[in-house]
Amino acid sequence: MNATIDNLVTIYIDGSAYQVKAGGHLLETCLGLAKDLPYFCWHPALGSVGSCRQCAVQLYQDAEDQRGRMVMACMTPVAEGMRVSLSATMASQFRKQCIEVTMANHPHDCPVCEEGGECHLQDMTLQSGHTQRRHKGHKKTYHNQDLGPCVGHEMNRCISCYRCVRFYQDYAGGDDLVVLGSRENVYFGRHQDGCLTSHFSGNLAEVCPTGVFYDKVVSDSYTRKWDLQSAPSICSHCSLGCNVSVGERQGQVKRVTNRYHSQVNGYFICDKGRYGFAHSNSDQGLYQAQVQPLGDTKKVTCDTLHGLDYVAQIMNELGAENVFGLGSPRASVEENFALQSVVGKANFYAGHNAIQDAIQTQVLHQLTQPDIYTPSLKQIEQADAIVIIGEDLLHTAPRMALSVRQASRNLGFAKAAAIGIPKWQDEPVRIHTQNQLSPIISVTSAATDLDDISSQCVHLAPNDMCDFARALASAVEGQFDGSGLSAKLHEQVQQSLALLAGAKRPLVISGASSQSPELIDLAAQLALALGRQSGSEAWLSYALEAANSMGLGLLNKDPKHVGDLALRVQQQSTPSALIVLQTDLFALSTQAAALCENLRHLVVLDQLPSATSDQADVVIACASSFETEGTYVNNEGRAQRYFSVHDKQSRPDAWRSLTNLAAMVIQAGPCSDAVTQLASCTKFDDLCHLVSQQGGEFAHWCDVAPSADFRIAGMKIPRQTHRASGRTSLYANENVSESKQPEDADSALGFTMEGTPINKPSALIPQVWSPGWNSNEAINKFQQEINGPLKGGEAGLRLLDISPNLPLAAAALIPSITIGAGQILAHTQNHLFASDRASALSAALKQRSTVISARMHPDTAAAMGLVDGAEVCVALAQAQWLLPLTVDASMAVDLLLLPSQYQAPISAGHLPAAVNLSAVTQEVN
Amino acid sequence: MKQKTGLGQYIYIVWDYFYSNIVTLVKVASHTFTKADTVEYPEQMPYLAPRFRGRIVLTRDPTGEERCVACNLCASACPTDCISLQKTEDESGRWSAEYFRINFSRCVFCGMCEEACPTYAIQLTQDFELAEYERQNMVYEKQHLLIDGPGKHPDYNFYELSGKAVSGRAKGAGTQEAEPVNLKSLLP
Ligand code: SF4
Ligand code: SF4
Ligand code: SF4
Ligand code: SF4
Ligand code: FES
Repeated sequence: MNATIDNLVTIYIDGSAYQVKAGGHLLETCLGLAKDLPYFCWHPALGSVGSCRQCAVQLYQDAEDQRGRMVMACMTPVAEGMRVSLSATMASQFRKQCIEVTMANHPHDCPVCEEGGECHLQDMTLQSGHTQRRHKGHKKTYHNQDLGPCVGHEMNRCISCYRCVRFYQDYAGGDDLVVLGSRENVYFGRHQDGCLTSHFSGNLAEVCPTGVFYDKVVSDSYTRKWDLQSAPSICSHCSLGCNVSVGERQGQVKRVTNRYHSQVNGYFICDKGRYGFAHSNSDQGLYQAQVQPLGDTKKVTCDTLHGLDYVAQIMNELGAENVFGLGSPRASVEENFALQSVVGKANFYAGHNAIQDAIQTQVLHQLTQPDIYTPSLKQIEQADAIVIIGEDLLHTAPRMALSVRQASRNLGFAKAAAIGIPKWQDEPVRIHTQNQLSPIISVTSAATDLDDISSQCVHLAPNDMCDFARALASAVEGQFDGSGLSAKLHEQVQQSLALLAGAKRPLVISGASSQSPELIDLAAQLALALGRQSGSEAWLSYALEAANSMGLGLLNKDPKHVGDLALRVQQQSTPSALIVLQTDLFALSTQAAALCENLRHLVVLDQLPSATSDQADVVIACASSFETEGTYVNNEGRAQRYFSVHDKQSRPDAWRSLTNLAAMVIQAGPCSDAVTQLASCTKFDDLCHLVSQQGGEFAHWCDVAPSADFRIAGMKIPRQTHRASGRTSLYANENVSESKQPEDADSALGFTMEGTPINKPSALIPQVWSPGWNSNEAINKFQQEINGPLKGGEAGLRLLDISPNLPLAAAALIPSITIGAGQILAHTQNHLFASDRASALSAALKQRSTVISARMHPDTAAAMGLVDGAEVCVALAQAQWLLPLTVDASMAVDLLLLPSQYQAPISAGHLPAAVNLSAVTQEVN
Repeated sequence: MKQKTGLGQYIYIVWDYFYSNIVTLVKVASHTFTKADTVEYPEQMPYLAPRFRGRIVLTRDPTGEERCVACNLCASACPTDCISLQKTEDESGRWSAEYFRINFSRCVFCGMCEEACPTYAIQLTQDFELAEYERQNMVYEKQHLLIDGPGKHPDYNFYELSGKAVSGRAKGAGTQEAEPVNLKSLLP
């Protein structure tokens, strides 16, 4: 009976035998068996330190031992035949006393604490059985700090579990949140007031088991967790597709929190995903359709159906072949598909410029190669050597930077494992490995946030990066003679080669922000070379342009971009119209103005105004990703569905507007099959079914998430908690008779509190809660095992795993850049909090966006007669941009980095380019 | 029991019918000689028990500040879900309700909100005269609910005990609170 099967062992908990996985500790094992055992300092991603003493259990020598001894479950490895008791009086009394001491200094402020109602401390206090404060002494108090617009601070509530600094410093690599003071007077904060600099600081509100660190943005229009109507969603801010839970109340999105996905984001998201939701509530958004009839000078608002009717008239007037559609990497697959159906495949273009298009084609071609595998974020953490080329991950794929940071510890884990220290033994692993890190080679234009963990940082101009990648790939293959490389580059390649020599699980990361299709290709060559060297599959990951770049790429395999469209419209002899989906043409391409000139009609479907919607004669307001349902395909090709959180939409779904448009078009006369089929879609599931009929990667589209018919015990899955309040009062000021809750025909989620909170499929978990577990720590009740997949399996579908190798379409002609006299090559410097429309509307993120400046190497600046801090004028075609110059010795030479910024005079879509650069004072003179 | 049949059953039914009616009549008539429980309302007010639960008010603390800290506990305790509110915060960090609404046409005066309230802000009073011709008028907003006094608990001041610094009460100045920790001190 006691035989060890594989790596399973038998342990006895309170007299019952359990087969459990060896190698773990008792705490995670007990939680994995759905037992309740309180804890504070242990965190599934941070490991054990055994400092809070809350997880005490009684351990017995053998079956005869009646007395036992107390151990900390989180520090005790499970072993064959182990006998423990959670309920033993000694241990449970100890836990109760332990929390009593903890609570002796805890303030009496749950009612005014943002954590109240989802507080791990409240939960654990109740679980331990402590109810009355017997201590009559004074309570300790602390002054608070101003930690910036995102994270609030109320130090009185601290229980000194050290989770915050362990996450902030050890896990996320931040250096400005520290533990100060001495003895029992420890203080968790900064050396002085000031904004937390880590781009992951928002996670503190979830990591801290108390309300010391709370979400300030949530607090501004606070709603308790039990009152939030929540929906499972996917972050729309970058290509990684982190799973998030969105909460709303009274029509306003109130907060975004992490939603566990074992393969994607795990327990953490970045601050852009967490705080970048304000665009959805913004009064600057588009909420009404607008039409400007030909000859009029102003747009008038109208209802959406009227606007669509106008578009249908345009389409009938001009003829289907003269109406074009421009899809968007920011819109869902379903929305893009609907537009593609309306205008026809031949008339559908991607919202990409030539470079972005070429990159997307390369990416698809490389990632579908049989020898290449693109790992998930969780798998990235398993790589033992990483080469990052041309991507400042923190600013373009932030959560991936966090995964890379974890991967850098693999050398240490391996070293510790060699002497029998398991990974979860946080402190011993760190002490044993000291500062040894797995090799990370970072090749970028300037210093990045990952430089501190990189074994080698190489700062090169984009062209040199290609040389470097090419040379390194051939060096790994043993065919490198160093010819044609500068001595310095040669040396750097040799150094990288040495670092990568012993790698067993190497990974290459590159991405779209290099704006070089060639580099995408070379990264793949390097990955293949490294794969061959290590005898394993080549691991390659790309950070892409936007949330659904991959989805758009798969829909539009025969790629056509804005430039192609501009050319085609120009060559048309008949007047033409363009329907643009969530794209600002002007930020994308310098050809935008010419394109708009040549169009008879411009129709824009968007949720925020842009230069393009200003030019348009028809604007159809459509829902943000929080208000509608759809599917994004992330950078690893994982299709993930998001659902609407609002019961009352402020504007219609884009996909529904497009199906309505199709219905109007067929009324006017015969049209293509695609339009007819689209017109017959009344529900979201119909549309998904249509998408799946395309076959190929889309064949299993209906399985991405359960359909709207899915029921548990005959009931939908509730978006509200079972204790949602105010149903008969929230809108009583408008009408005392409350109306029926709207029904949701498009998903299996309901807008009520009715339904079962358990057994939910992984893609349909609006928020986590379990009896006695009100905080996000309740996730342990949803996992198959700690850190493992959710009980309902992994949500989403990896599409590329079933995809045949996609051919590389004829490379788009990308004119090479010639640098004239007095000119310099300008490239984009990405800024996570400033680069796009959506985050520009978040007041908190706006405050955190860094000072805008152009950057240059001091030598290059000196050669051009410029000094640090000088005001410079950057000119590209008609556009001029005045901004200060910062010299940065870490940068590559002969390169100007321009910040990517929403509504900047020179947008990221226009770069790389040769620009004219001059000091402003000279201009004035 | 043996079933009565024929005439026997008929007599039994008639007897049963008359008997129960006579008993009822006698009982009702006997009330003519007992003291009435009703009073001549509205001329005469009925006696209300000290813990009678009527119209709900929001009270103020002894310093005259609004007691309600917008914690939402009353709303979540309410079985008819007839309370809703929104938290707001002043510059000093004091929480209060931006709006506070009770739909008295739904309220069952169970007193759960009062029981849940950690600040003694929400209290049920002895006023039961809430009738309206228009149901819409039974929706009370904060200005209709807020009274000027502390109600049943004249001395309680939540912010004295909460540990939070708010206007007029710095960190460590509350009851049973120590001075804020001096991090720079090395003294034992
Ligand atoms: S941290 Fe938890 S226990 Fe402490 S005041 Fe906040 S809600 Fe209450
Ligand atoms: S601030 Fe929070 S996470 Fe940090 S030690 Fe205190 S209770 Fe723990
Ligand atoms: S890493 Fe990307 S997907 Fe994840 S939360 Fe941040 S912006 Fe969103
Ligand atoms: S329970 Fe009391 S303090 Fe909390 S919201 Fe209700 S009335 Fe205000
Ligand atoms: S969780 Fe085990 S000691 Fe803190």
